[in-house]
Amino acid sequence: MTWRDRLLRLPRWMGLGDRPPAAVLAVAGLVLAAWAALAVDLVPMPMAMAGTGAPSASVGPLWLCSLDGGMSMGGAAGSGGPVPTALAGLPMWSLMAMAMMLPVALPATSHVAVNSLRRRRGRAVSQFLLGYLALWLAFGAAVLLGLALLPFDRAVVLVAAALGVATAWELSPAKQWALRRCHKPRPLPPNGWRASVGATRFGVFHGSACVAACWPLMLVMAVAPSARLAWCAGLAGFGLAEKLTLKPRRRARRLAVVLGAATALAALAVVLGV
Amino acid sequence: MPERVDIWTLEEDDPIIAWYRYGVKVMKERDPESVTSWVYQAAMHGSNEGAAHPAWDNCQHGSWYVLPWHRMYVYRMEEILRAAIVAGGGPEDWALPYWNYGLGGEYATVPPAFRSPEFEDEENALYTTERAAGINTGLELPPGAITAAAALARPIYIGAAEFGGGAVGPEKMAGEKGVLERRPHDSVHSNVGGWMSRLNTAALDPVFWIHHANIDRLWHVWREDGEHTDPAEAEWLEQEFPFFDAAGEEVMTKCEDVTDTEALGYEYGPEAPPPISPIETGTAVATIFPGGEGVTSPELIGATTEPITLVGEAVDVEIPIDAEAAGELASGQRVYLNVENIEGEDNPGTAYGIYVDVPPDANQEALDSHLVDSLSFFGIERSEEPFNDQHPHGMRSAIDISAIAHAMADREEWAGAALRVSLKPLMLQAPTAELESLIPDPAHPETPITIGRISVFYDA
Repeated sequence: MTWRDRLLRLPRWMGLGDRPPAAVLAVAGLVLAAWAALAVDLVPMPMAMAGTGAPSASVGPLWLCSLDGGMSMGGAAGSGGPVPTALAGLPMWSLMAMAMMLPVALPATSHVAVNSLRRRRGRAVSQFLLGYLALWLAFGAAVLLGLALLPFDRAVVLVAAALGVATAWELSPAKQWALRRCHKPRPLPPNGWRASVGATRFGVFHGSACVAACWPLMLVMAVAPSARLAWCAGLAGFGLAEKLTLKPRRRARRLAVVLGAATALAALAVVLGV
Repeated sequence: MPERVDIWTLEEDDPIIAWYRYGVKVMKERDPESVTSWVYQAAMHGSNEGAAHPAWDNCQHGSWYVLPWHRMYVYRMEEILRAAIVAGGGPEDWALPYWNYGLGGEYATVPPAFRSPEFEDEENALYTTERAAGINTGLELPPGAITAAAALARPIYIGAAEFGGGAVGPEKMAGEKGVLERRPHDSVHSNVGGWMSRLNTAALDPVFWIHHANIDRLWHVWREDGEHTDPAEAEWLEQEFPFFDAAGEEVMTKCEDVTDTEALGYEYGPEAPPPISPIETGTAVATIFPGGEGVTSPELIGATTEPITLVGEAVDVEIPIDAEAAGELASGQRVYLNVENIEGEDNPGTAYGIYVDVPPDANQEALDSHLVDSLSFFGIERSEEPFNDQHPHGMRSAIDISAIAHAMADREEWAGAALRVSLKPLMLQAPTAELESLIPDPAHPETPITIGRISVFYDA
């Protein structure tokens, strides 16, 4: 298949199909809005000042993705302790999750839209997305809390570790199992409270499969220090590359090479005292 | 040119069958590591050892590749058999016979040559005990499982409700078996039972090859009738698959190279005369609209609210047709029934008939005319764990019920009414009274099947 073929197929492979329902186009719009918000740094960066008043190179529980390369501040030294500090990072995390993890959920979103009664379509898709994002939010809260409790603060060590984990996970059978579950639909009752439960349940199921497959990628996002939109875009592209293939195992092997190279670079940075 | 003949035109001791038996015996005696051995070739379909060799575990199911892949598979196997047969002094134009169960009655039995443990005082290489109980005594496959009428009536190739199945894609949430793959292909696999009912062992039974010769013939018949065409998409035409020729050399073959049987060097002989009582099912489901572009903008108009569990008994459901969504059934509107989220640990061997809008107190003939498809579970044990490097394909059936829907609308029983759907086990049949006690019990409580939802859709 040529690159031109791939490009022509992209809308279909993304779950946008020939005539996407309005609800699916709305979700695509939401994704674009999330990227725009990231690009213009809409979500404020909570700062917990260290005593010196100067930005430190330490990685705290908050990862900030902004064009001006702002550094995160925080850690247990932040006012109020680790939990509020961690929770303060959730809005940014949610925005990242929408920008990066909604595109890979478009096929399932499309499935929900097509398999719902027209008058319930918007509701069904919203319920599905709430269930889906709830999983990412829960994961995010756990990650941010974990980072807030970490005793050390060298950013590049965390990045190297996260990339190493991502490489190992990419090659694991567990990853392939999770990717397969991303292709498994759950039944959607047509109306009534059962329809709402069904759509939400499918969202939670799909979210759990997605988190199981992609958690290391989002972990890298959480610890990447001098954040650029580029990190977001790169890792989101990674997630899509995993999904948009007819040979998932071969693709995973190739992506693992990329991740491995990134790990090596980060490890080098650690050794060089960057 | 070698001619694949209807096995029912042959006597039990016909040389064609005898040479097949000989070829199978020779292949079975070869070292399993040899690519032209029986075990190796069977493992290319599926194997309990997974992809121990790169060409193993390769079978294509649940997509538009099923027919070309199996055509290549049977073609190469026939080449390997023929080479062994010729080496043993047999005819150079030997070809596999096809198992024409579609004619029903005694023709829906496993051919006698395959049913006896011994033939002329020697072990019969065509025999195995690994089949459904009673089938080796001459029980007949159910009429609802063997008919190809619905498949042959499909106007186009591509699509889950069409002849050959849907295209593959990473965005798909389920497999898209076409009508021919579901019936009679899957239903015969399930009803023969034993090895034939599971992907990993199906090709070990010598009956597999004559079954697939028939499926191959049905593709040829559909294509050659002048109204139907194979896919023209490059994705289908240029997809290639690896097989081995008679010399054991790996050969890559593209789908576009196997669309014409005569170009491949074989043809099909005429069917046997039908037995006394030809079977007709599903006449109410005849396609009434000319071919379209396939499913494009589906619109849900009704569905069940709870999952259904099948354990071997008949199940009746009513699907409310949503008045607002269904509206007035426009003339020319196509209507589809989807059986979704079909899940289970293993193939229970029982196949079910899907009966739609059966009138109350229907006699057998009326019942049969409302049989829209058979629901069987060939491959369910592998549906979440794909072959080789592929995405999984969950099981789902899409069935064109336009004729029935329009008949209901004519009776003013459509929008706001309920569509009655019945799932009934299709039983093996006994040709004589003595064999009736051998009909296997369809109950399968240990291997239940759940159906997540049955839905009704409009589509362009």
